[in-house]
Amino acid sequence: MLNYVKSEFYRIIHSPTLYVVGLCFIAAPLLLNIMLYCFTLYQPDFPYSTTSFSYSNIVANPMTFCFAALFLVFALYEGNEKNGNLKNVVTSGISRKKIFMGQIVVCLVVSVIILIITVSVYIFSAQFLLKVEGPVTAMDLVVESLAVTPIAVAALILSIVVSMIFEKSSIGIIYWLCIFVFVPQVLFYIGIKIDPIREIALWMPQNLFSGMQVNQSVCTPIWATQNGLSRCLISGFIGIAIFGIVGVFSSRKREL
Amino acid sequence: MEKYVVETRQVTKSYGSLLALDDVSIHVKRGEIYGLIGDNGAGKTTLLKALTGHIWPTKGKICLFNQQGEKELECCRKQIGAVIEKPGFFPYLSVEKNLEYCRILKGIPGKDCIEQVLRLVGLWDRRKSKCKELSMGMKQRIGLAIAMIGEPQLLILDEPINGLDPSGIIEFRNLLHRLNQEKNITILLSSHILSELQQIATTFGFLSKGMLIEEISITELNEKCSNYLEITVSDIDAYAAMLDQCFPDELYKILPNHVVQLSCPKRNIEEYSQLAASHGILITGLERHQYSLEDHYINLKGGSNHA
Repeated sequence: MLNYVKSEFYRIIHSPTLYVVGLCFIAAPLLLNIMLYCFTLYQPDFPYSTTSFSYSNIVANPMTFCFAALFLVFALYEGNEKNGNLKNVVTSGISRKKIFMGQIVVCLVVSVIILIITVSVYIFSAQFLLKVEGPVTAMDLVVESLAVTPIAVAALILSIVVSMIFEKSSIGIIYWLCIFVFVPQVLFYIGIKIDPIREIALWMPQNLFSGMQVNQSVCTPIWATQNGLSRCLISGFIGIAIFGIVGVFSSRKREL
Repeated sequence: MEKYVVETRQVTKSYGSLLALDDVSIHVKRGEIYGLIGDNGAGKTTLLKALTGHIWPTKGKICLFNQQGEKELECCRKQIGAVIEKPGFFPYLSVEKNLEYCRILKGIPGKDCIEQVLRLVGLWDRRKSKCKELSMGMKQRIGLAIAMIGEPQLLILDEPINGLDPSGIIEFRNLLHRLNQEKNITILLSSHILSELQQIATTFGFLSKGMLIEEISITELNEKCSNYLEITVSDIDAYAAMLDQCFPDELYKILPNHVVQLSCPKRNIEEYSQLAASHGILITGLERHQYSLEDHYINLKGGSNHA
């Protein structure tokens, strides 16, 4: 597996995808902060040119981390099978289970690096360009990044699983959205009538984050309480376990 | 040392109701160039895919280097280089970087092997080119280079000369001979260009509708049928009856236009003429042919053989 991971790092470092994806992630918060700063040039008392407003865009939407994981996986592994590279790897005697594990390792390392750079650029550009005021602070963003990590990892593993199972990326993305977004929403609505389903639905990230209050006047993210933080971590680890097991089993007998 | 580098035992592969491989047992000895012959859909690629681990047989056993079992086969596959269906590479990476990827993947120490293999397939001058910019023939060579990196003991090539120009085919044929003779690499390749296979392979496996209909060495093939005779006669039925009666040991086939094809004739041409003349049958044509792999394949596949 180590050779596979090493070769994948070699490929990723030498391909333009990593740099394009990295640039997209870094450019998004940077452009947001520059845009907010530009508004103050025309209107000095522009109410949204604050670090709090800037950070709240991410702190209020933790699912962004999950969507970022999905985007990253499909950017790195899209076309891998179509180009016949997976066949070369299998012919080299590397089992599908090891390929699956290797892809998780590679995506995790790449996403952690991109996350650190992106959050750093986000915080530095906000602190430098915008008024430092409001309830949402840089620390909230950092804590969110850590608290949501297990759920984002689960989203990343699910992305790898669907990219492996479905030849067409679009179908894989639809399945991912169903599992991560639509099914939890449907279960939540069913749960209004049936209590046990409601209990299960509330452990799903889409619903877990739905009750949070993060805006210009208040910041009470779910991970601010010990109970909420535990729910975030447990939900993430359950996701990692479920999607990991599904990935191992679905990859083992997959034919190319 | 193992007897066979590749051995399949009653390998069957089905996709729903479609039987792609039906009890196929092939035997590839070390140092052989084994040619897998069959029409489109005969099961050649399916068999090669099963050997390289891309698919799993529904039934039967696969042995590589005398090893069987999932883990053992995975380990053995490290000694295999293969190009199945189309060569696999990253189109946005250069030729050299694609090979470097494979070198790291296979855990081969030192970068010298990349230059060696690129010179061998004639791509050294194009090493900096992006793979997507290359012609089909060159892409085929990249596939071969990737398969050959690290000097595998077994090369599995599926329709390897597709897309190669005439000089490329000659170079490729010489390359396979060189690899086989100098490095003792066992080669298993499939093709439906029989004339080409006849010049390369030392053993042939004939596949038809998922079944292995014959496995034969080039020596056996030459001994079995070195030539054949085609006799055009005025009364085909009468002549066939005479052949059955007078020369019962002859193998013959009736072709259209009053032609009798005698495989491996055991007598002089004069004897066949005399047989016709003595029964008032007119011979209007008589030709002796060298028996080719193509003829053998056609004989195997169809026609009504009489003894």
